[in-house]
Amino acid sequence: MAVFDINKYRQMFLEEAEDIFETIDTILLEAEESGDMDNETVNSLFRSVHTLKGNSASVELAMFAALAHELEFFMDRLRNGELAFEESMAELLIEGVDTLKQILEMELSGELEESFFHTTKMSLLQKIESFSEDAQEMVELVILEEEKDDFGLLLPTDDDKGFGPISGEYSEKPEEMPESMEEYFGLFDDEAPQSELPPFEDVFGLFDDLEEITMKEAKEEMFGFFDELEDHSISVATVSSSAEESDEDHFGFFMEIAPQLKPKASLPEKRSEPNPKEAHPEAAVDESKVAKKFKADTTSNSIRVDLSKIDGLMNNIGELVIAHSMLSQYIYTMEDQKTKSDLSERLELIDRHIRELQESVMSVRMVPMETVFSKFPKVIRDTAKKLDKKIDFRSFGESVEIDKAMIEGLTDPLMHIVRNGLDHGIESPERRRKAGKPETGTLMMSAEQANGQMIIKIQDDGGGINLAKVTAKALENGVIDEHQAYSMSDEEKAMLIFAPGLSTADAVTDISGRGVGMDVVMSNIKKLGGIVKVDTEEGYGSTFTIALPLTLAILDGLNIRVGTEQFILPLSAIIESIKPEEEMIKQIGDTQSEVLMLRNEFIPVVRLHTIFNVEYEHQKLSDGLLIVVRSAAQKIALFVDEFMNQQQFVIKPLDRNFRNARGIGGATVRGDGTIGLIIDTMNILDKNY
Amino acid sequence: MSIIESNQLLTFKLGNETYGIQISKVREILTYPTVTPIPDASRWVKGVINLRGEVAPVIDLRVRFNINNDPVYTNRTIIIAVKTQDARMIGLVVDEVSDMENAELDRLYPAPDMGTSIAPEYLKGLFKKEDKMIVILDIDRILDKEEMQKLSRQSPETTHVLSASA
Repeated sequence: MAVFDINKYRQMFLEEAEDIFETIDTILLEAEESGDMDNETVNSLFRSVHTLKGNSASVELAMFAALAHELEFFMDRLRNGELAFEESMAELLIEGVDTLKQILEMELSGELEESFFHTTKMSLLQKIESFSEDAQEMVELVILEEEKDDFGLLLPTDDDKGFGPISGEYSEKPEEMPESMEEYFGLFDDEAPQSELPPFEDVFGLFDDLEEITMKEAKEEMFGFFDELEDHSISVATVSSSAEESDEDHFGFFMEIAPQLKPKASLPEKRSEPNPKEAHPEAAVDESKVAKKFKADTTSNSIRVDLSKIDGLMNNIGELVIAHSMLSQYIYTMEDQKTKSDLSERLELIDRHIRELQESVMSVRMVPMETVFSKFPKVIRDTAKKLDKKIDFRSFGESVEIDKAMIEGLTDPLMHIVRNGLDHGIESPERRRKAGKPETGTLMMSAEQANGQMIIKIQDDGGGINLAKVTAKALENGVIDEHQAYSMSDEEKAMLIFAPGLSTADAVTDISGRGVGMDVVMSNIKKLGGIVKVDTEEGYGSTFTIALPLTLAILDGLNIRVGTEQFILPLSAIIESIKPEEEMIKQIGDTQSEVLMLRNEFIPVVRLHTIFNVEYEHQKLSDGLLIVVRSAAQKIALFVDEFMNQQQFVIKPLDRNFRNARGIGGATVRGDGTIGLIIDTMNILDKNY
Repeated sequence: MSIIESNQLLTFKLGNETYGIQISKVREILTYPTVTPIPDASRWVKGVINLRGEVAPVIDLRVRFNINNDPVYTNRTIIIAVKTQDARMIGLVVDEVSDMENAELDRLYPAPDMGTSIAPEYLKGLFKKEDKMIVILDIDRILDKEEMQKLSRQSPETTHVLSASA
């Protein structure tokens, strides 16, 4: 038996399964709401479960595959009209899929016991059975467990060219197939040297377009020779080698599946023979013929790429940008004007191409917020049920794009905020009615890009945050002192929920836990380089606002000088810059704080030389320059001595060695090889320097 | 081969004392360049420099271990660029670089509790070569990430005004 690491393949399966589960969830949620399911939807569901079954079997998740088979069978009967869809089926299906997820987790971690699995499966079957009058058939299926039968048809051997019947099954998710199965073939191919098997693409690549083909067509054309099987959708996920042991191993899985052939199938004679070898050649040949037919129309091509490869690309582009800036700097120092301008011209061309390249790569990393939003409807539905509350979930900005690398870090905090809103925010239908609100609460999630930031809002129309309670708890836990409690503004009190160790939940619910989550939410968002704020109005609801940087690696910045030191200010943060007149500067009361009065707005002034502890040139604000910057909703005016050129910078992280340096968000390599420090306006605003 | 490598030390001087680092940790040796200061950093963190495209902090060992709290930076001052176990590049400021020495690392004397300018927990041991003692530094310990992060934020009393390259 070839030595392979099945865990790696299981991991791949798990990743794909997660995507498939999401798709299934969406479909089922819709069906549950509308109370109906059209044919196309049923088919789509069927295909999804079918893929799950097949793929899981090939990574030896036998029990999962078996359970998936039951669900698939159920859906097949819906699909071929044997059963008609009823409203309550949606709930059963959702439950079935949830069970499937649970079994998957358990089987993967090795915790799944035969007996538990058996009971679970039986209970599911019983429920399914209640919809069907064909109870008899169900029973038969169960009895036939023991027969290890010949799947003859399903066994490729090393002297044939095809993979026989396996094919059809994978057409369901064509874009996923080639990637995922490629390795599998390597795996199971112990005896047969790789070369004897046709290149994967030949057989499977051809199925790329099957997504477009409805099952009906496929049935006729592709499954020609599978007529009998097709009704039972046998899927042989594995292509086993001819080695005896592997045959048995693999067929082990199909023990439960195989027998279902018995009741209805009338397999063509040759296939029921124990010797697989004869069955094959024709199957193989036919198949490749059929398969080729579909090669013509290739549909949507997408490919899974390891994020590290994209990171590598970004790094390379970063180095390009640095090299470009070094060249540009050097040209600037040239004396011969003609050469200088000729070179500059050509350099500009390169500059343009670099920008385009950079934008392309950045866009590769960007995925629509949809991927984040899609996780929520199901969670909200389940939680609402559990809490006996009615909740309507709305999302806006699905197509707004976010850096893929952020999605992971974002999902947990969002999930937590949502759960919190469901648990503590939105009231029970009864309380809402009493308050004169509609019984169904609304939870809105939105995403938009503004000022080089991604702004995500989660808004609920619940009861808002009980500021008095929060303040009292904070006082009790020593988070704030009496004086602070007295002088804090409502906004500040609301932000207290992010303090560690604060919980105003009267009971610890397992939905949102002890409330320790909120401080974790804040730190997670900070890790992404963002900030989170909350606005609340008692009785009306709360809004959580998360502001994240758009992406990370390359930045358009402005060089500024403070004394003898130079810093870089991100262009995206800059609103405007002015040389202030004396009258525009006002002093606040008796403090040292200065404000800029600009068009009837008072903007606090921050002297950069104070934050960075550098020597400065100008003392009077009117002698220097003020740059107005914004982060989320606040504005400040930064006092600098001079500003110079704009250029692109590659951001290099600073925090590997230093905890957040004050006001500095990163570093870059300048054209002359020295390091330039990049100002972090959010940090300055946040810390109220 | 690797055995020989790990036995080689790069020796250098901090003040009047000779210290050594395993050559396998050393990536580059350069003369003191233009260093970009980091606001709010400790006295012994001079700032950051560009080391092969990476932003590397510059630590003045003389200041870090109080060997010389007001050192000079001339064209003879050297930075030894080392790479830690967790792949961070860091520049160490030293007075001058001496020879490479072969040391049998299994024949080290343990560092005494006192007598050396640098506390024993930061040392791998002492190596006696002819008539001199070479103090071998435990670079990973000195540059331990957590420790650096803890110590890199200076205490409010010791604010220092940044000026153009020290």
